[in-house]
Amino acid sequence: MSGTPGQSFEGALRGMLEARRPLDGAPAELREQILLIPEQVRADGAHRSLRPTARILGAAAGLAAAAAIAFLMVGALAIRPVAPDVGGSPPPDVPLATFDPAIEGPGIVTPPDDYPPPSESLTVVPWAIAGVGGVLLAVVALTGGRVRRIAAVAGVAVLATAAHALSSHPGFEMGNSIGPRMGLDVRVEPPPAGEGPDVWYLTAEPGGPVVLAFDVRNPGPLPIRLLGVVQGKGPVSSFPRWTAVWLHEDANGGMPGEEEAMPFRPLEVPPDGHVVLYLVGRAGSCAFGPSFRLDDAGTGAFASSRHVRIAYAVLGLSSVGEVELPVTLAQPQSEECLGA
Amino acid sequence: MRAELVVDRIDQERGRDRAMSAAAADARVAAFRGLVGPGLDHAYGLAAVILGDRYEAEDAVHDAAEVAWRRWSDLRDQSRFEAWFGKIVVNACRDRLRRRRRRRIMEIPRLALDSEHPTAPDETDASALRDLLRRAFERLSPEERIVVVLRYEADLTVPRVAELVGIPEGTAKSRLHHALRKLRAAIGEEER
Repeated sequence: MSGTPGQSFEGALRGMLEARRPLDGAPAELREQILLIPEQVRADGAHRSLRPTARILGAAAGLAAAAAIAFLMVGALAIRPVAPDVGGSPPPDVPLATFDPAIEGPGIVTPPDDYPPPSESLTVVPWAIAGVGGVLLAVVALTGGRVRRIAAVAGVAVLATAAHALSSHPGFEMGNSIGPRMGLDVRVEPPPAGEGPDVWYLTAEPGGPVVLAFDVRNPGPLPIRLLGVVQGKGPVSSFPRWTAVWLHEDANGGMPGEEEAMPFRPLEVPPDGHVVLYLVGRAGSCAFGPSFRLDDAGTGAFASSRHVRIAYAVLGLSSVGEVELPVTLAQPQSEECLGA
Repeated sequence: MRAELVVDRIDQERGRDRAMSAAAADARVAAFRGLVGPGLDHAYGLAAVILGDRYEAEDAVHDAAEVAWRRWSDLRDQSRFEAWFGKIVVNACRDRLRRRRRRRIMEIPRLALDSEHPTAPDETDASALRDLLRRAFERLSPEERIVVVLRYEADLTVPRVAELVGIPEGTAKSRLHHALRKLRAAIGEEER
């Protein structure tokens, strides 16, 4: 080739491209068709300016609808939320404002079975929504540009953080005060099993009332709805068998007497809020009873417990948490009864 | 009597609104025809060079004109029509090249074979060189093909090419560089 290689290449390239250009102009038929376009195609006009807004609103509505469907579907599929007052209702003629340990039912939540525990929708639903939202955002990211991808990644991060925060919500924890009110003896030196927390012995008659008062606190950042105390369908001889919950929601850190307690009703506990629970139970059918003496502890059998299972809901999603008491509750048992 | 006067007044106002709306629509149609008509030869030529097929170029220009009419309200300044319409034509061509690429995927092995064993160009035969270039040009990606045409056929500067394609200037330069390297390689100039 003549000339410099660069010039010859560029010349050849220009020549090749020029050869592709039609010698005549646009065909007359094409020209006619194009000039007819305004009569055949409606111009979008001013409505076009609303398209981006409509698109955003449409996408937002789609996401909201998908989230709502996911919420409803997962809520329906998850284990049913526990419902308060399943254990029975107080007789209608009993004045509820007066504390009465004989009343059974208020505040007791009974799961369908003792195990597995009742609804954990607080764990399942947020992660399910985050999963569905993540898939939708992935679709958005794959169909859009860089900005949309960044927004989608940020959205997934927000969803995952929110799901993690909700599902790991701490629930209730033990407050500052606890006290035996009825049917408990607090002679505790030394605990029968060696070192450990104080032991409160149950000295009520078999089937007799036991009342324990303590306060619980909401340590989390969100309000928690207190649904009740979970009581499984254990054997009659077992302890504790909780039968009712009474409460005092305006104790200001104190521990009012049970005569000031109100019958349980589900209530919202604000962050860092306290509520005093008066937990009413029944001594088991094999309880040793009031004749028990600590000196006899070496010869008897004990049923003991340190945990109270509390049902609660955060943002309408229910869960069950265990509050660990600072004492062990022990029921001395009659060996004759157990052997019978 | 008074009510009749009010109704007449409303009818008159409605009639005037309708007349104004019709006049605005007529003006829009006239503007479209007045601007698209003269630019049609250039647009058709550009599409034909990019696509290498007259019939497909006709379709691309028709598609572009239809899009231009639908988006007519986007054109704020009619003096910018040529660049605005050029961009739409380029986009229409790119869409067609992409579709064509998907349709003709079975042809790739044959083209690849050609590139592996290029016909030795006759140094004295410019048409043979052009033929080699044409084949190599056909194998460029739609984006590369468009920047080459805009730069060397439409004779636009790189900033204008970038503006028309809607990409940063650096991207246009890099795209052009890669395309030219492929074309040079195809005719064996790099080895020389």
